[in-house]
Amino acid sequence: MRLEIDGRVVAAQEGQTILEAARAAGIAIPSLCDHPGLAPFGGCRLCLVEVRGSKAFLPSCAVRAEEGMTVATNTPRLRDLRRRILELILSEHPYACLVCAEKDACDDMKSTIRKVGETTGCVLCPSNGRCELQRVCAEVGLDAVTLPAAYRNRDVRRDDPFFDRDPNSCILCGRCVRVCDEVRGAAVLAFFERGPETEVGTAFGRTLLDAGCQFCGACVDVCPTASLVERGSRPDLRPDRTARTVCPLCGHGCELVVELRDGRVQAARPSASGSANGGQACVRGRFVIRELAAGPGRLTQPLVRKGGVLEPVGWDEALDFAAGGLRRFRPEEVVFLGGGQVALEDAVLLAEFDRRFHGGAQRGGTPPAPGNAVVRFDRAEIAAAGTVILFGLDLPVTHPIAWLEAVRAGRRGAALAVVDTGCVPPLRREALRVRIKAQDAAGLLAAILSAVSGEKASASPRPPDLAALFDLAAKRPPAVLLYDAGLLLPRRVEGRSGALRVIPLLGAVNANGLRLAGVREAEDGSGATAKAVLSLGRLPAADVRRGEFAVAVRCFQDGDEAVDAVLPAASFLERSGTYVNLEGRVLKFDRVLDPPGQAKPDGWILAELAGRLGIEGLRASTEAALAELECPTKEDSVAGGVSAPVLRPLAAETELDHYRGLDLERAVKGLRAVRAARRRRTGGGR
Amino acid sequence: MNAPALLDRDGLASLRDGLQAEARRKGATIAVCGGTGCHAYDCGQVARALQAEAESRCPGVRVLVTGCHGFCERGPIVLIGPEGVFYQRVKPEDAAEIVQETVLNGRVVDRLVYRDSVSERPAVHVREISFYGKQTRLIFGNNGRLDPTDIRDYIALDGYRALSNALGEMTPESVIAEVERSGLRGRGGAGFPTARKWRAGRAAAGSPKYVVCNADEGDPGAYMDRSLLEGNPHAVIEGMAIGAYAIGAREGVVYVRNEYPLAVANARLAIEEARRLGLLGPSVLGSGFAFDLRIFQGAGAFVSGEETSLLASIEGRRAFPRPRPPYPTESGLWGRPTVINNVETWATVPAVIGRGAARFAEVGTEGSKGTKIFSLVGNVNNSGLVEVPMGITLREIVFDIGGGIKDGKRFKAIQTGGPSGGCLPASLLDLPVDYESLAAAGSIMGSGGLIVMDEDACMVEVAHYFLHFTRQESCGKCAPCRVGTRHMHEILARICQGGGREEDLAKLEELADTVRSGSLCGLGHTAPNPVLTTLRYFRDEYERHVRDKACPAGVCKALIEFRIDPNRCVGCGLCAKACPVGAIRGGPKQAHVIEQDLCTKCGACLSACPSKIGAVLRLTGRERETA
Repeated sequence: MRLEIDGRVVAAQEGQTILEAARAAGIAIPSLCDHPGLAPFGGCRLCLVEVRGSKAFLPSCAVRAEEGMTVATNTPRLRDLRRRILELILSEHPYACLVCAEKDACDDMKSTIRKVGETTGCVLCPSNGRCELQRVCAEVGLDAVTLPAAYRNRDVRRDDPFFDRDPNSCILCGRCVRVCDEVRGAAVLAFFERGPETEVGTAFGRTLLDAGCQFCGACVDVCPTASLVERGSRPDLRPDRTARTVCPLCGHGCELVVELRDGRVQAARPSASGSANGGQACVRGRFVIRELAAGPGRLTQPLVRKGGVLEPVGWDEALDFAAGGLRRFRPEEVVFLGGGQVALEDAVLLAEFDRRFHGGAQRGGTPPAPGNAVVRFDRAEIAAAGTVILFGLDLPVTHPIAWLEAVRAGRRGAALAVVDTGCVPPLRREALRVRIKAQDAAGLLAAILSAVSGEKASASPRPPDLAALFDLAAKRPPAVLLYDAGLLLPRRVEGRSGALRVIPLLGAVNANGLRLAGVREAEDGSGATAKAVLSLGRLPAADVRRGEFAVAVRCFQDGDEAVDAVLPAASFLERSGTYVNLEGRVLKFDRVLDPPGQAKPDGWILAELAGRLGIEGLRASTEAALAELECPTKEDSVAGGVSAPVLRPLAAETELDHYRGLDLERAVKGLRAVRAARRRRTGGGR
Repeated sequence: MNAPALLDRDGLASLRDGLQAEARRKGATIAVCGGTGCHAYDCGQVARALQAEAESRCPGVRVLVTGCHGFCERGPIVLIGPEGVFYQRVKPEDAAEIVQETVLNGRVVDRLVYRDSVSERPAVHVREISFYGKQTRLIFGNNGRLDPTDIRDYIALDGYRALSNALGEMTPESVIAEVERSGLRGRGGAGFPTARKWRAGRAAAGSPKYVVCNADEGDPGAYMDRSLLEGNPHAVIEGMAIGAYAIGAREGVVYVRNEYPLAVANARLAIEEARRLGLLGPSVLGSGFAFDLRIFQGAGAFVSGEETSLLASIEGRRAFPRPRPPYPTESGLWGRPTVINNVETWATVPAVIGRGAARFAEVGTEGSKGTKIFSLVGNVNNSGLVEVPMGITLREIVFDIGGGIKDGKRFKAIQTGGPSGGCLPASLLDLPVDYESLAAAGSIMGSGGLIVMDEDACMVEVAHYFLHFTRQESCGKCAPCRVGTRHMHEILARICQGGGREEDLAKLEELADTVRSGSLCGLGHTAPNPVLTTLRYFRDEYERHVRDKACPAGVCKALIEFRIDPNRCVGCGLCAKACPVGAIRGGPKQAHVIEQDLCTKCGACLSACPSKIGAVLRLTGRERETA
């Protein structure tokens, strides 16, 4: 469609607002409360425009463009009104610096930086330089505020992990409140009081922790001022560069932008362009990555066990030691284990190493081991569902991005049902909750899967405990059931019967990649009988493993395991690579930092080790593995019955919050608090 | 109830015929006003006494507790039918005499008869009372004739006949066309043409559709919607059913503020009764048209009366307004097409359909048809609820109906339309009351509040008072209203405190324009009206406050002081006795002195000093220097 804005004919798409159409055409309209991905609010009133035929000024962020509309965005009357409205907004905000004539010189002149309790001006504000008020002041051309300052003088809330809340900087644009409700489905933040007393807060003024916040940080990222700001942000410590990466801390693989200064990660934010996460992340990506990058116990040199104690040695000695150790066993006594946070490139290499070590041929289209089928789905299917069933999953914690799709479905009117094994706290707007015993979960799921797989559809009656669930699903089709893939490993991993779609959610970022590469995971139980283990992931627990020799390739020292050699690997920030996430999306990431000390990429370590075991020229390409991902008949080729249920603990979060030897919950105090608060809501301790 | 379980159209007609015949047979009735005002005068006792008396002396006579009669100043009110004898300020002990004299012997009890506030002439019947004389009680009249808790009373007064006719003889389009011909405009404030709203609701795609009744009357002092819902809930239900039929809605919601418990109870009961008779439900009057209603109790925020916030509130969200378009007719409750009208509009619909658009349109002006109910309060002799034809002048309302200003004082201003209405001066008393005229004068019809102020009102203080209200009731969503009303209020407070500056008046005007032009909803659009109109009509008072630090009305405490003229003071000591803080010194037969440091400026000394002595002076501005 076409409309006229400021005398120009502008093309607009159906459903676009005037603001979007204008900006697409390069016509600037200032705004503060508008934000992509959030429903129009119309609160800041800066984007008011004149529309022919309308007596009142209309907020261009909220009014849809229409064919033939005539819009004026920049008349003298509008410019004047905008200046006056902005003055009103600024009168509630520490504004002195914003309209100071000397502000450009100030950054150069200021000599010291003091730690101040409250933000009183831009110079000492953590958002200085990225504050949207600064940008809008320039756009509107405001150089003086003729109203008395109406400073709120409220306490800054510093009693929560990761970020502070400063109500004195708040302009009440409502972005945080809206993202918390509309996008994250949490509604922890809300408006309270009325008139000039209006403020953003939590019910009964509780801490965010007590109010159920999961610290996804979405509110911090949409805040235009410094009202919500990550702790430790300082105006004098601007990042010197930014880089893109992929978060390895759950099955989604959120694309992140990390901010670096002097080779250190200062912050990580969700990238707006990430296909796996659509501009969102969770506490892990948003706040934990930063602490992980500087994490305690980072391995910087190889360690080998000498006289019962792990001692640092050089690479040559460590590799010789490891190779020598493995050589003591017959090949069938040695098992190679991958890990869900290892890149696809290294997983493929490991698989090749495994095959050749065990006397196999060079790789060429070997099918993956049975039971290791790839999972593929599009998370938009969840958003389109009429019923979303969470089977034994605390989805907002285990799979936060999938949860956003469930929220989206809920906003469209879908019903949310929970099959609770005791690990799911009350969720907002849940329509039905069925409580089952944890030990019955795998059996019930197997029954559902066989019912929907169509093999014995008529023969298998619906599990009686779940009758209400099936009734709901039948009433509000289509229904999607999400469960933790770790709970049950059927050979055919997806099911669909009539309106019910069953989707297993993988827990590790590259679990699909491992399956494509044909690598075994510790969870397979295959390590339990081996005598020697080379693992890039978790090791089977010592009391399960009957082994005599273990080599671990990892990034962090995990103190309480009996390992004979620890080889320090480069982390995901220190190398490039590929993950195939839980949806089957291929996610590439680049090297952001140099590995610390002597840490090396997994591939280098595997090749060196293989060389010392007489396997030369170890190399493999990801092409074959990725080609399999593209193969549409894959699903059918692995069709078969449901394998024997593999029961695992349902508290998936305890496995989720790890990265290659680092227990994040133990290492990151804030995360520990968040998880503990969540467990309190579930009613369970740890 | 001995009525058939579910009525069809014929059943309704025969029930009505039966009830009307019965009413004619029975003859005398004793109607006790049970409105909120009379409740405050304990009308319940009066009703019980009359009931007991009638039962023993004349069992055929019906005693009914009705809705508000409007003349709240004179409650408790008792009306003896069918002659319409009007008794005011009735006490329970009057019951025996009323029954004996008036009901049984047909004589008037002089003591209870209303005497005109101006002429002092007694007025025995309703029609002789000047308060009622200039009213046209098209919508409100039935309030005094029926027991709101008994649906049969409403049916006997031709209730639900309009709905029956609409369902049986009219198409939805013809209902809308009839409403359009009537010229009915929304009574909630903005005066949007009702038919145009309904037509938009009917044309909108999406289902289900909803009708909503806005009974969140938030203006302080306004209570016409309350009285309608309390006194004649079936008129609202019938109007909503007709509207629902016209737009194709099956469900309706009545949003009542929680502070109106009687309205909630009566509306709830009325809905149940209507449902039981098949006037609501899966097939209204057997027509196949399905419609039902539920009540939603609001938690009480002024802004909830704004239609989009009201809808948000029903949805369980914070009562924030949202930008329009899209209008509720397109995307309203739960995102579905919704027609939302206020109580009075819905209650007017049966009159429009039942009596015909042409008869309705005979009343009123070119642009504003029919009648409007106002709550007439303030310094006026006859306060209460009045229903007047559109186009009546303010003077007629204040002086003919309202009986003029109390205590013989001079009229100073009248504020129309609630806390965000404008204050109009005496020079505009001949302004016809209609949407356009009020808007041109800088005020609004609003939902119908009329506050009369006498010469003792300080117009700066009045503006300050109302801005305090809107500042507190601003929802906080949009910056101009949230922050602008705050700054306006603070400037006004400063002026009243004596800190006014010359540039304040221009700043007030600028802020008023920002708030009015920039705000999101009607609250902000109208909030500056009290300031703008007082600046327009009473600018000299502002100037005296700012320049002379004087409050001509003697209201703003910071600008006045009390002194005792030693030449006049006879030393009686009455002022010293009256002073609550002991600020007055002086012995017998000595001239007294007020210690200014202690004085709280309550004015008790001024009232206490005998007027023939007049020694206490209230001074302001330069008077303080020269005195």
